[in-house]
Amino acid sequence: MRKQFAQTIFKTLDDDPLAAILIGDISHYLLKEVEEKFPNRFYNMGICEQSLIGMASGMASMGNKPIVHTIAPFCVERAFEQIKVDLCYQKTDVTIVSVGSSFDYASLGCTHHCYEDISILRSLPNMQVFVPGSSAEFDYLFKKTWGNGSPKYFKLSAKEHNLKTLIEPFEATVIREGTGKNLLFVCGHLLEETTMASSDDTIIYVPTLSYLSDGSKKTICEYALKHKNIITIEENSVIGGLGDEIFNILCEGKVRLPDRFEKIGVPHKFLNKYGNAAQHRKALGLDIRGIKEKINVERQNEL
Amino acid sequence: MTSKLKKFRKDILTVSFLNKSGHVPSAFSILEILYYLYSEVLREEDSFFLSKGHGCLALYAVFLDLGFITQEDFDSFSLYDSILGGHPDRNKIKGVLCSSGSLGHGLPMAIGAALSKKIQKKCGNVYCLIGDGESNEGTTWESAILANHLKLENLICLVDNNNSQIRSVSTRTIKEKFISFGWHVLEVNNGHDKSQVLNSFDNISQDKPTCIIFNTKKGHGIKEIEENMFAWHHRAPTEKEMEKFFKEMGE
Repeated sequence: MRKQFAQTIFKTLDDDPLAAILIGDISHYLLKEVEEKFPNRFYNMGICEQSLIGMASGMASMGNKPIVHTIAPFCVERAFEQIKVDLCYQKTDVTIVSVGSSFDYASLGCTHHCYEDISILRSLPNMQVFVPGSSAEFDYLFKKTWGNGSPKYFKLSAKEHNLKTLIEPFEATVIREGTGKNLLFVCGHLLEETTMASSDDTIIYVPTLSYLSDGSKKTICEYALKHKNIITIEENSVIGGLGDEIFNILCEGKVRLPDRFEKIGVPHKFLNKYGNAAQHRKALGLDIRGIKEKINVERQNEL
Repeated sequence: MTSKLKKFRKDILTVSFLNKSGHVPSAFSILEILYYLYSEVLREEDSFFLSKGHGCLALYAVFLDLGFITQEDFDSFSLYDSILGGHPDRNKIKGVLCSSGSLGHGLPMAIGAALSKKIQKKCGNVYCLIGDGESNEGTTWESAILANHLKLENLICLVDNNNSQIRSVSTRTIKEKFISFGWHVLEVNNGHDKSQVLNSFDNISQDKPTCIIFNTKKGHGIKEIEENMFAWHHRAPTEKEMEKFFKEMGE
């Protein structure tokens, strides 16, 4: 997704003279062409994430549309108050694109992990949160929401799915109409694992995690009523992420709770092992086998 | 003190008394800076960011004088439906560029605005008022590095040096710090003196970001508040105190 990011940024700066990019000393080499072609709209502002967000807000107040790009925990968690005050409260058109999704930097340890970004950003009014699952999805969501006047967050993951999806920002997409009793909700690249882990369950894909449209909320409630079990799958903390979003939608829609509502994701603890992301997925049951087992546990409980 | 600056202080005391709110001493320390800035320095193409938002009563008093807001707006200060809060909201007040309140946010925003002016080849300066207490925040010094790095000669940081931090962590040697970060630095001995304040604005650098340090008194104009600035930091006057203060200013 990072290569796509560089291409999308190049195109965006080429098309929109008000677009500018501020990086926090990461992806400098990746964005070399952007820097060469647009030297007065590319700024590597070093390692000062709080001021980086503040600057972006000030630029937006003058009509520019800045993109801020750095590692997830530093731009989201360290600069959270700047995001709250300078971007969300003031409602400025600033786009944050992070790298280092969840435990992508597995071996670097918990300081470099970020599985709470979606949870905390979803709590901020005006913040639009996107978790694309593929390069094509990132490019589409980014371009479709460009210049919409709101602060936006895109979470780029190192891994992506290889499926062709038809998605829209702020909409949930029914990927598969299943015949089983389970209704699966998933966001990000785990869509691929989810489709492979189950053959007859209904799958709804949710690449936008805030401000879902009323139509999508209605669809989610209608599908929930038709299914016995609901399982949400995400590579994010189970506190405040996709699972909670779906749960809230069902509560708001006054839908009766399913027999089982299960959230699969990162549990409420620090992942203090190292290794690589695949090992973490395996340990958390976020690989095909793990997801399959969870779904089968559901089945066994039904018998 | 001119009668106009006395009137501003009376307006502020009155609305603070009636609505039982406001950071009066902070407003009194920046009143002259703001008034001379707005009435004699700022041009159409310039921008101003009030970073120390708790001094906003001074901004509101000046805005009222300039006709940016109405008397009714001013009188509603801090009430439930007012457009004028205890810290300004840029989405409610025309002419306010940043919603401040949390310290250390204005200067990074002003840097972004100054950079944008350059990107868009717009003329005009960006002014930002911060406080010496606010300078405890790390973003002040991140910003000091960034403004120098970006060569923002169109940025002017105004420091209300009212010694409000002397009981905790005083940001000593603000002047030396900004100089060491590569800024052009001016110091105004009396930030309440018209000619000294205006003179400093005539000496802004053409090739570096400028920092003007205004030595001010928190609560300037009322002895009781000047001498007890900590007790008065966020406190409205009583009716009896109002009478005393108005008398002191020569009613």
